[in-house]
Amino acid sequence: MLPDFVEAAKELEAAGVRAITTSCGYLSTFQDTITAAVNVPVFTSSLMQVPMVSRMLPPGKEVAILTIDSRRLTEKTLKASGITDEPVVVMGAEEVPEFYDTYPRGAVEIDPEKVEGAVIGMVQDLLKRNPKVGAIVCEAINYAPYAPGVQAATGIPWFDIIDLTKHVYNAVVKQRYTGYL
Amino acid sequence: MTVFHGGRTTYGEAIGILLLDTRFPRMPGDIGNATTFDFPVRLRVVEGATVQRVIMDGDESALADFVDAARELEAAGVRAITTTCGYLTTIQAPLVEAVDVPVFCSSLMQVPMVARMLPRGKKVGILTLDSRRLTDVHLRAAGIVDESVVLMGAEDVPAYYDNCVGGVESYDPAEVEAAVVGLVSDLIARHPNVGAIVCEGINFAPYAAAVQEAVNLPWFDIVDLTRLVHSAVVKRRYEGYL
Repeated sequence: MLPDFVEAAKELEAAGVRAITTSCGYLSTFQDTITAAVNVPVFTSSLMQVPMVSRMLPPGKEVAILTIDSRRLTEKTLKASGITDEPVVVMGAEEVPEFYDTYPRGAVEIDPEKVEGAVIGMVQDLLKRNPKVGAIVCEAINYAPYAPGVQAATGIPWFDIIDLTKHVYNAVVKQRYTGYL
Repeated sequence: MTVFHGGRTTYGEAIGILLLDTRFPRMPGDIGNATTFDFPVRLRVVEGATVQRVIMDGDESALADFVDAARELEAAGVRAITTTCGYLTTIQAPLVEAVDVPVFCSSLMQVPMVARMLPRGKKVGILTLDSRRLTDVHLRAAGIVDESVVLMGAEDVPAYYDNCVGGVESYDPAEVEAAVVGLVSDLIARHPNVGAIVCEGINFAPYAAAVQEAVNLPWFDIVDLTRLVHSAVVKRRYEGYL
């Protein structure tokens, strides 16, 4: 698939985009190849935030990586995002059918309230079992709609690809300020 | 049932900002100007922490004051803490130890992530007040190890430098903007392999749009990083449709 991603990235660049991202956090493994192919910044995965977020936390606190399937998030994927010795906990939804049987399995209908309840329960459980978690970095795109619900229930800082995309947008489209002294 | 927990006086200020003790006008776009953001911030001056003491002299005796001020911000309910000085990577470790909320002392913490976004061979240009005073110690404390960076300092640009260091209390922003645009244009001409700018110096941020018009490079500063962290600690419901 990699050549298709490279072609598509070049097409986006030719269309004038100023930065490129993807809809799958596992694609950090394509990061080097795609950055080599285009001249605009590329951020394939939300996971690229992990080292920075890790530095923002008190010593002993860990970053929890929320992913679709923890068995499929490999060392290689983490390393490609710049994660080396940062303390992380990986949490997947493989035991949460309300989530796992929908997005990853190609469901065309979703009951968002049901999924939200399951995702909130899953994160509460994660935090109870891992009290050292100081922030969540969400690898999986499909959790992002439920972030406000999770934060209302747990108070945990939550960094996802939407946040990173807004961040890079702010960097490539600088706006004049309109405040006052 | 929802239960609200109180126990303090003020609410709604999710970002706390520790300010150096300065007198120059902080323009919109400067992190020490509350109108820079479209959300409320809590500004807290660390008295006696002057540019001379913190940056020029590298005096670490102000650390205890920063720690006290950070704890005060935490007690006031902020959800994350930053500062108005990119050199303060040096207090990142003690501050994260002192409070339970995320702390991001410096814009420089973005450098490793930004470096990974660029094509191989491209470098991150670090725009700083005084390149002679930005040492490996500052960089390492921000997590910068083997990333290729170019330091770009403003020490030879009095229209900018003197405002920050010389205690100037008034200036013409158009003049400063022209000087900053000139400085960065010149540096980029000399370092064509710079693929993005990470701006250490807070006071450059008001001129980011003008610089980008001139050099057409991505520009990451502390305002951007503060917005990122704000969006992480204050999640909002999405209101779109299918």
